[in-house]
Amino acid sequence: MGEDTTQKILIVDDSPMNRMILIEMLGEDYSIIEAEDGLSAIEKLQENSKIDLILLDIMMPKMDGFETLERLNQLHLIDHIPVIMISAENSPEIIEKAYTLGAIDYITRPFDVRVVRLRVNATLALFENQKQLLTRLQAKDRLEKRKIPVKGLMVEDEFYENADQRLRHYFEDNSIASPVLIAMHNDYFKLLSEWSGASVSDQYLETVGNCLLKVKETKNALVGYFGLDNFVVMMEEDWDSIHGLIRDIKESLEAIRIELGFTPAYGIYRAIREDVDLAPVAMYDRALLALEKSMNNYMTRYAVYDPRESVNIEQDIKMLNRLEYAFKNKEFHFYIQPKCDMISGKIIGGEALVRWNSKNDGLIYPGVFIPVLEKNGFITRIDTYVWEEVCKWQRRWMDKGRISLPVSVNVSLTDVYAINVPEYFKELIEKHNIPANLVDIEISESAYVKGGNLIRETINRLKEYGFRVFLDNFGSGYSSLNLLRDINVDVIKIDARSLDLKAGNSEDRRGIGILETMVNLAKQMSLPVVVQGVEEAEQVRYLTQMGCRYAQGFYFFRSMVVDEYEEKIKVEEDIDTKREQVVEKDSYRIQEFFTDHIYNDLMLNHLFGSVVEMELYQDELKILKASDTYYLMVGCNDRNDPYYRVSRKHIHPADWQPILQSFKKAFEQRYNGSVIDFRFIKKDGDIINFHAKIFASYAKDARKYFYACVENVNHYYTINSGAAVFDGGGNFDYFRGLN
Amino acid sequence: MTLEECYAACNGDYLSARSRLMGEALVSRFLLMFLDDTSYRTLLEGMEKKDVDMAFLGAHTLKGVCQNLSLRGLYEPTYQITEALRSKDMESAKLLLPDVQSAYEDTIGAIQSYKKYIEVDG
Repeated sequence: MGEDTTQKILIVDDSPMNRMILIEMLGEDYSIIEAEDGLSAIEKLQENSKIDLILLDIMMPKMDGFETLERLNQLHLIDHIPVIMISAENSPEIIEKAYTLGAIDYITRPFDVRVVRLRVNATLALFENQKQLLTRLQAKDRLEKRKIPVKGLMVEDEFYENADQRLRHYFEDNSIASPVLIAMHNDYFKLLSEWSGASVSDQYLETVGNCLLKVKETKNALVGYFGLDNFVVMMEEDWDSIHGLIRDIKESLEAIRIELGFTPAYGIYRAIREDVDLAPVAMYDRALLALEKSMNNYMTRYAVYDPRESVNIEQDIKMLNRLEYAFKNKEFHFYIQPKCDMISGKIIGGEALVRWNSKNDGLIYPGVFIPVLEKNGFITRIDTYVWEEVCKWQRRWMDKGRISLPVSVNVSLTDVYAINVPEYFKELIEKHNIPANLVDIEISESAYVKGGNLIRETINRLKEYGFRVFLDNFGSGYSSLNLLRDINVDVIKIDARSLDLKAGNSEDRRGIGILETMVNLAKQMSLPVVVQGVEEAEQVRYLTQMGCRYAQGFYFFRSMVVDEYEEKIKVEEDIDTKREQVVEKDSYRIQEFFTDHIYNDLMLNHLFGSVVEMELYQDELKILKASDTYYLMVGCNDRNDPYYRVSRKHIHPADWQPILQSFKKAFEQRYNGSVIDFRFIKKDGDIINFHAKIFASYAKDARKYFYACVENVNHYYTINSGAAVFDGGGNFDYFRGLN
Repeated sequence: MTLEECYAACNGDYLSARSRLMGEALVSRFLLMFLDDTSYRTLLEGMEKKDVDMAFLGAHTLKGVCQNLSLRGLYEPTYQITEALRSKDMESAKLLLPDVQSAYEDTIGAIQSYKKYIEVDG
């Protein structure tokens, strides 16, 4: 905020003393306007259009705070101004009433200077953001009224009007299929135009717009453009078409070389007959809420609005009251989840995570209360509390004469808006007399995307003070060298869960591919990587093969209370005080092997044996493609000979079931594949013993695709011994097929 | 009388005030402002005129100020009378008024002494 744009706060309180107290607390940073009752507040607002925030007392003569609030609402004087209520009353009914009437926050007496400043700062920052967005949208909209990316998309008014008509038909006529409203947008879009230039982002908008026009044509959809990269569609709830649209957009963007991370996220609102009073604008809002959820997931780009998860103000207030109580009663604690070196198994540090241990309800998970906290700046109170507790604990641990490891803490965008984060941390470590390298700071990629320069400055300042900064959840939205060049962090954290890297997941290969790309990007920037959410042995195996060294996740350690963590790190042999390092390349990765050296086909055949590509469909295995050596090996002179194309004919019947099992296994263990021995019957009746390594490629509808390396192992078999299936780990698991 | 002694004399909670207001400076400034606060007079006037609403408003504001300054000695009786007036119970309020008056006098007396002390000492 610039020098001459000091924000204005209107304080409405009948007691001069109370006004003075607030002025003392806020006067340095803001310019203050006073009003001693509701009527004068209304006057002040009417003459002064540039008020940024109102602090409104409830108990006042003539017109009390609630009445004032109602009047202000009626007069539309506070449509864009946040109101914080102040009062000594803290009964839930009164607080609830305040929220119902549109107050954004509620501060109770006695005032704590920090709390008042924090909540005022946080509220202003959040609104500032919103206001900027609004003006940007409006400005852009005005500018681009003519500049709709492709002809045929409606602007907001037109879209809503048409949507309203359609909905009315739907409500009146029970035979009409229910419509869905799809919002699409991607926070990362603004980075696309920043980094790649206006022509690329124009191309992007045009491409998406054209995809929408197709569904307008074929599915009679309503399609609109709301500025920036906000598109909207209303169509019949037909999931094939919806998926088709999403796929079409993705593929069309890929075709113009726009990366996956920039493809829009989708929020879908399904209209129901009970919605008869709900305006299309409100439906769009709900679709946006759903969209927000899918934004940070790379694999699932859409989410459907779930009314159970909707923002329930009543519940929020109850939750807020409980939180206040919980905070006073010290029900919040920090847990630590160790980070470790996957190869040595040693602990290299930990991450502090907040847990709410409610006396009444037991352990409550952050997912339940963090969203409520984030909405009103309360999160900063919890965050700062955890930061300080971590510092205190590090001090105590040092005092015991133990070897210290760093513990990382989380900093949210709300924190950055509410307080001066770098100064706060500097004061904390000075107060507790601990070195900065014992407290690492994790900031999420989405905070960076939304916070822009402010986050960049915060990170630079923190580093100046000696803190290490981790980019948390890297790749949750958009991963690119640009992002890493743009932001000055020490360590990258990748969340395996955001890539759905579970064994048996059909998206597995794509997830692994993305992960590998991100790991390579980090390597190119010489940034160490920590993978969190590591939950399975299989993951550890391919992560280490990929060159990842550090992990956090319950395969190694779950999050634990501090006492337990102390037990884990008190033995010197169990810990490693070296900080996260970039893994040096000490072995060739296969791809490099091939690009750096030139191999001829013969050499490749030596390395892999014979390679076969197959399709499995309804119990029939077809050979799609095979290397020359394969045909040579099986004695085939004519590649079109059906005998060699359909496996049922040339595989020993007793080996058929084991082979199917092994294909199934290949899909379950996509990274390791499966291994099988079976008998191949040549056209002349001779039998060859084959050893094959099978890998799943992909599945489409009911068809599954595989590739395999096949080798003649006749020399191992002196007699016909039947088939043997191996699991990926190399354990022999015999299925003697001959009965 | 130092600031801390002043709080002790009127049964206030000095540590709480200092911690919430982040240091002595604000506590001292607000305490001196309290000498000019009119809410007590509004309460008395309301009681005299048997105007429950007016008395309630005065008591309620006074209560809030006491809370902000952690003037516990005055807060307790003010809280009682506020609740009586909230339920329009003039009889109970009348009985509670002397407690408020005596606590108010103690408090103002202590603040006056503190004021003299800082004026002399600069």
